[in-house]
Amino acid sequence: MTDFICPTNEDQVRESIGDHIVMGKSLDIRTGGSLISLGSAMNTASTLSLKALNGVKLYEPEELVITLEPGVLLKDLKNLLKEYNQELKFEPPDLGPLLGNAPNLGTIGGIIGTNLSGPKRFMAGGARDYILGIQGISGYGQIFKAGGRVVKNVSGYDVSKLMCGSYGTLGAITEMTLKLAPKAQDEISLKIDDLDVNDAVSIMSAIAACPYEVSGLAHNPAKGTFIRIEGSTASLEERKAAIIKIIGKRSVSELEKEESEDQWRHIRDIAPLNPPKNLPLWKISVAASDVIDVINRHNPAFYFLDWAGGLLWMSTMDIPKIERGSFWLIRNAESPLDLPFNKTPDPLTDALSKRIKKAFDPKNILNPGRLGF
Amino acid sequence: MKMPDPEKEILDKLPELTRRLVRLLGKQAVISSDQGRKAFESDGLTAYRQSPMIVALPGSTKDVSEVLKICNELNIKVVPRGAGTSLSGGALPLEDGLTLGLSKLNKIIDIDYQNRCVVSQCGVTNLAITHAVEEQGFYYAPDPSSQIACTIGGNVAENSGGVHCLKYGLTTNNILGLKMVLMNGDIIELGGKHMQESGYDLIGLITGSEGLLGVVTEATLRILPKANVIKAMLIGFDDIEKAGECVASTIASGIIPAGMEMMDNLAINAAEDYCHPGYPRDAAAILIAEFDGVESEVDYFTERVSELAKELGATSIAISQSEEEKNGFWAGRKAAFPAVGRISPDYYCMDGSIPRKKLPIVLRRMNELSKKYGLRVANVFHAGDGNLHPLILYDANVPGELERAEEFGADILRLCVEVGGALTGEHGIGVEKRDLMPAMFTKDDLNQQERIKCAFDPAHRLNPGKMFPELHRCAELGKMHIHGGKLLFPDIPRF
Repeated sequence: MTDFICPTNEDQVRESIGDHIVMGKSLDIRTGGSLISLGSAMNTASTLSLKALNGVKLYEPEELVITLEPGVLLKDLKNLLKEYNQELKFEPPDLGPLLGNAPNLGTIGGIIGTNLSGPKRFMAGGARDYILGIQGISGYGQIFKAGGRVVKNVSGYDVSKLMCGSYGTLGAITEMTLKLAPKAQDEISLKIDDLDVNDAVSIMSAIAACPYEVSGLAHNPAKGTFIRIEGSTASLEERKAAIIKIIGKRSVSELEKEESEDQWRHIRDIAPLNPPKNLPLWKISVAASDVIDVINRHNPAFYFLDWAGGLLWMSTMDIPKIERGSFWLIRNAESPLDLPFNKTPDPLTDALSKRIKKAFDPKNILNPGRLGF
Repeated sequence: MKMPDPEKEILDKLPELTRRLVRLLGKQAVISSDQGRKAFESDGLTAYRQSPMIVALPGSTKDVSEVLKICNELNIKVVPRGAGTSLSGGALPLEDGLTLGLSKLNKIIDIDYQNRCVVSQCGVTNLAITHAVEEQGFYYAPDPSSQIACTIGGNVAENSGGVHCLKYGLTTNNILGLKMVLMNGDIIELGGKHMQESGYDLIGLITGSEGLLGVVTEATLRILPKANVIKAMLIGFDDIEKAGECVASTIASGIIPAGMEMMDNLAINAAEDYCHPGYPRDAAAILIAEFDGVESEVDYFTERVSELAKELGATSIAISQSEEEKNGFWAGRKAAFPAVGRISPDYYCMDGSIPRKKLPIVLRRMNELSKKYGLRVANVFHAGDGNLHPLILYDANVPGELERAEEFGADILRLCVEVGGALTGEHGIGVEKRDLMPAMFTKDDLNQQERIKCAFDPAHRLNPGKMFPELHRCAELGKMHIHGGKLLFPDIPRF
């Protein structure tokens, strides 16, 4: 049985990390815990939950910035931003249900800790592109901050980006400042039926290469190829017409706002697409030009493409065979197999990453092993 | 500004270093003459000058790696240099250091339209990327003012921005992959043509690290399709605060222009005298805003912003009707620095960043400081993203004026931090703002940053004397102080 620690302020976080440093005991750092199955398994002495640090420290809608504690629930955050007609442009997903948890448990700390981004990634960037500043407690037991609350800031190393996607291995994040975006006025989606995957990838690449700022390009072999257009209502028709021209003679239909929102939520959160539970589910980031090869190599029982072909979700028994690119084991098979979370990094990058880990956590007590070291 | 004292042991090794570099790179690529070295004595921050001990000009990643291995073995300090356009002294040489000139790595390796990216060596200029892909309707979004000369390697080192980063992000948001060499010669490849990399975001960490962590030799850059319609607006105000309000209300209304710039009266008149862009000379401030997209969207945005500007009492509003007119609106802004250079023997360009709404306070306080120091200041401002470029006018031939300008500048940056902003928005800390870092960061913050440096370069050989106000030994930084079963924090009383 591990100790469960749930501090309510930063000083307490620091104190418990300090105590664990002294005792040489390790900590499982998390917020809500709905993403805890991501990453390699850990065996820690205690669990440090940051979910009680859940305040909005600063929200200046006119400046498009917000400073949050890690435990703020995504659903609450989205509602708050909605009041001011704003959003997180990287479309954080709710992977909870996919991972066997209830919906709406996800926190901003979990999203930043794992650098998860939704369908807009190919045009608007990911979580890491929206983080302006960070504060946390290192494995030295010290509070450190980096970045700030302004959009343009190159003062010092960009530690915020390093922390984003570090799975709690470099420190316990106690505060983060994010850049917001105005919510698009309107959206519609187009759906093309019956494309084979080769045709779908070339259509998606062709549309992404046009200046119509489409905010979603996904292909689900079971449902069709989806194209999302967001922006000022005034511009939607013009952009739609231009895109239909590129689509040419293929059969295309239009989804109204609500239907479009549902469709993209499914693509973002995955669970509604029902990937088979008896197989491991992989998320694979490759160049769009390589994605067909990967699919052909594995002939997966289930797959779909997002990010204009740059993201492949697939269910296969075997480890993805990719020369260039990255993968993540998002969900293991019901009867779990011994599989790696990520592709093995090259030895030099691996050694460098371990040195960085040590620079933050010399005793290796913060989420040890979660990223393989 | 004090640089680390030259180390005698390094100076003593110069003959051996020279011999080995010549053997590796050939005579042509090693510069050791007084005259040759002098050409590298400063970068864009010309107030500081120092001839390097020696200059090496490798032509490939492998050569960069070999040079660094030699330097590592001989314990020689290394200062990487792209085009030398840094405004913060990032490429300022060291008396006991080798300047690693990267201008020979000047090839574009791959243009890939399907994946919308370009693989480029570090010595290619920023503008050359756009030139290489514009025929196919693409461009590279980050556009620092020095884009005709500055290199991709330097852009990565400084995380360069530019006028269009308001909508399209900084260098860090437009990089997919990097190849870099560590001080020990290790060649590290990060990312590629795919969008997301597993493991730590080392690309994010390296971008903006000012050449202290590694030498970037190659980058994979995201290119974007160029919008079909681009229009600019030129809006005049009789009050600079109203101009600031117009920026705030534009963004608050949900419109993100591709760029939104402000110039004050002094900068307007300097630009008018210099290149006659047709700016209203009597305006207290002008805004130049650019919108891109499809025609219906651009029209919608320009109309909305016109309405907002009218409500705020704009004295003039013009929307460009042609490419020439749009370029005309921009001409004065793009020439603002040389234009100011004409009205004063010297100027000192600052680069603070503030929350937009603090602009009126900052301008008012800057005016007071201008009176206090007896120096004029012209303001050019990336208004949309809160990045100020006050240009302090001085005359280096008047004894004491440079020092006064520097003190004035430091006060401006402290003011930026005080109102919630940052010491530098896009020019970097370098040597220039190194000693101001404690105004923004605590000792613990800086120690943690230095520990990262130690993971890359434990002997502090790569670009030392930049970014950090003091250098600590890595062994010292790594220590933890535990006493009586408690972790000790020297700065905080625990009992």
